[in-house]
Amino acid sequence: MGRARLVKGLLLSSAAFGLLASGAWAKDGSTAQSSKGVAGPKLMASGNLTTLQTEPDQGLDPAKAADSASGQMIGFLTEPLVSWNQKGVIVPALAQSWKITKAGRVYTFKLQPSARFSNGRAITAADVKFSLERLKRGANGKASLASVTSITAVDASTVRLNLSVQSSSLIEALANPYIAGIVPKKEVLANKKYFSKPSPTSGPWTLTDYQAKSHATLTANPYYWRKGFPNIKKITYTFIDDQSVAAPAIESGSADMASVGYADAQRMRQQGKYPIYETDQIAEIFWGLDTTKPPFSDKRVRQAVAYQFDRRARQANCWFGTGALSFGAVLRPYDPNYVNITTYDVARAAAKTKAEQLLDAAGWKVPSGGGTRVSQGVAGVADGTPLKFDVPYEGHWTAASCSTQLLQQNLKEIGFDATPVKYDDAAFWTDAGAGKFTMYHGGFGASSAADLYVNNFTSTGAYTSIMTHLKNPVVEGDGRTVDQLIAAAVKAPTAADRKRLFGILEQWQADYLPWIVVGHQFGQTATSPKLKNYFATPRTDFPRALVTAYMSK
Amino acid sequence: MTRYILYRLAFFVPLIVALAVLLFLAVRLLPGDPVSAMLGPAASAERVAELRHQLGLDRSIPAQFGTWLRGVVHGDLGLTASSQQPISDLLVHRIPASFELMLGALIVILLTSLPAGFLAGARPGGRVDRVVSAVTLVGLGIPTFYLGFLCVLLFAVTLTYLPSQGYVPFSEDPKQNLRFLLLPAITLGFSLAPYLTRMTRATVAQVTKEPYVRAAEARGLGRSLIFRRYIVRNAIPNLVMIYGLMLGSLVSGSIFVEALYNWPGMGRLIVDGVLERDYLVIQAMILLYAVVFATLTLICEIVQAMLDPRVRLR
Repeated sequence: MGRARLVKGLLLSSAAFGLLASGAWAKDGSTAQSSKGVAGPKLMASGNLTTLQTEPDQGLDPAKAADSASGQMIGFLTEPLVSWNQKGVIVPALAQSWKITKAGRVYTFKLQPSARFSNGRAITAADVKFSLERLKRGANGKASLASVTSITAVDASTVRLNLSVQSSSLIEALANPYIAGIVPKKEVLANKKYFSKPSPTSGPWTLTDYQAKSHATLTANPYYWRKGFPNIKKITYTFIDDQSVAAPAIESGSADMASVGYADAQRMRQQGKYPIYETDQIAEIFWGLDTTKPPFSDKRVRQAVAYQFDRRARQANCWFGTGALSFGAVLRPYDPNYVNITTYDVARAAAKTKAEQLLDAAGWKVPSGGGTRVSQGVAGVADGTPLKFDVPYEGHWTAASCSTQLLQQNLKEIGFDATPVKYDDAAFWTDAGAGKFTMYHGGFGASSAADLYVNNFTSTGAYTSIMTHLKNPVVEGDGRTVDQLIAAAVKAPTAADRKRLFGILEQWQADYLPWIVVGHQFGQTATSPKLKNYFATPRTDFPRALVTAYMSK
Repeated sequence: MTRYILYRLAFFVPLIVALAVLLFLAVRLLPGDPVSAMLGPAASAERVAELRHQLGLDRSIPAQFGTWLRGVVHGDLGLTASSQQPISDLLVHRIPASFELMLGALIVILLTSLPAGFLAGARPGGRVDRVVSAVTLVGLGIPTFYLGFLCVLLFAVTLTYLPSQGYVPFSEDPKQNLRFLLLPAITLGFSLAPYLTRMTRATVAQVTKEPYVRAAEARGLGRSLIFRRYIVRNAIPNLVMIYGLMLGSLVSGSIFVEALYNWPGMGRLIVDGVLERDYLVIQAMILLYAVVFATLTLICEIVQAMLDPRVRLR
């Protein structure tokens, strides 16, 4: 989890445009979308591509693997029914067309007639049914396909999804290349090692070689539904442990595509020679707080930290200007449910004054001689106890180290003594879960707003006991509890309803501060100038953006 | 000689067993837990218990050690915790890459340290000695990582003569393999060359002061003859031991170089194992390194004894 999960995948994150983006509502209340001329023009000869990526340690099962490294490779190997194009619009992929009827409760997909797995076997409705049912049962699809009650193979090339309620996010979930790809029923059932060995796949490329801790080789699927594509016939997928090797590899020509560090990304961006693509993902950078005991059981202390921490300096100095800032919102700006919250976007001098007032009110006073604040009448704390604690961060994470040192300087100005502690990565989240930290630097990723809120804010959320410690409080001004509001947001019938409900939650958490989200980290991918016709944008399906790309001489 | 070899071998086996016990216990003293690292803090207690059982971590330490040792004796090093792949399968691909890197570095060392050390040591205080001393002093002051970065910056990024990372097996593409090898081998080789040059120089300089060299000079023998017959011959046995022990440093030095150049050798496997708290990988790798180091030392001792009978009598 943590940073590993932070860089985890693009997952369901491309959820910005919803149905309005995927097709206009027809007068009869149904929507329809179809592909035309999908087999685009054959471009120049292709060549091979070498990419440096983290090894997909969690395997290649789209229903289970949750890390970005796995998601990336799965995206190359499997094809979803629909996908995002470079304009952020959902377009046909394995499904040639689809119709939404019965007030949004029935989705009917017609498969591409040319759709085949890499072994030449036709992709049928039975394969789609099998894949989506697996996904719904697995950890990755449980939340996003919750509204799907049944999946029917109408005929060999038609598949129907019946929903309990209208869903504003289903089509986006089905467009997620990292989890919603179609897998071959027969081969998966026949081979227990299907997801760890070279096997027939539906995506643009197929896995032909996998050397753990070293590299994998992907070759073009000769039966890919888009005739003549992909242009790049072979991808050498080299696994890296240390991101510092990535930028020199691009600059020396020994790799064509690689995830690079933030400093390198910024430098290369300024040079202008190497294209840098930013990946949109839900990837919060936050201060984790133990809200079960003082000092952070008092909201005013949490708010004091939120005011005092210099978020712009964090982004500029530690993330080299990349990623996004947050002054209260949990969701990042690309999210369809994003609300621009500016609660803590206050001038530095005013922020300091506000923070000091909050600490004074909370009973943490500056001693007469100055220095670290001490408690005076704080419930459960002996008077004279200094406001002093360690702030661990994952030792391997350079930006976290920088950010925690910045926090130390910021808090020192208001009499808060926070000491950065470089922590062993392997023990970090276990110890965070065991409640050993009063405050810590954290990173967290999620597949969607729903996934994030359900897992971190509901009383039964998988990470609630570690991240937010919430026990279903009532949302002030609304009257409903957090669990009730999240459930309503997840099941919202329309995108507008969903955005409104998440908006209430966003405003509530910005005030309550179960954790302090200070920004978002976005992956930076550098490519060789030789890679042409690659139009990835933060809203694009990255693997499919590579389908039409080619390597120039 | 046979008695000497048997005598050394008698120490070798207990040494390896003692190392195995020590490293098994040391690995378990590491903070962190492989199950937590794999499943994360949100994993259910049932899933944690299931995986602990699957990995054998719910058994007593002696039982775990017994199982592991039995497996090692039968060539089964266990499975990796993350991908559940046989560790021996991983090593099959790693050992040739690491061996190749070490061989490349050794060639760099032999081509630089031996001639420079002999030339400098043959005339202590001479012009060559002063130049070699100055160069090696600078070399000793440059850390391996800095040397590596300099090489990448100059040869890969600026001049783009050589790739900064990558690997192709020699059997697949010899030319490309050598291109990939050059920078890592130079980095690893030059990180140890200054030290060995100085050791060579000191050994040779010591020999030049020996009475038999003086006697040869007094007898009017030519410098070249004295050098070949008296200095080189007498310096070689000591140098065998020094260079042999240095091979062990190559093994450990390769860990950083492999990471820097993304070289798929054994060093990276150790780093991954430590980061993931993969006990079996760490144990397998350290044991392998220990066996390699102990074997090299043994070979060097035997070669030294063959070259210098006095060693056998000590």
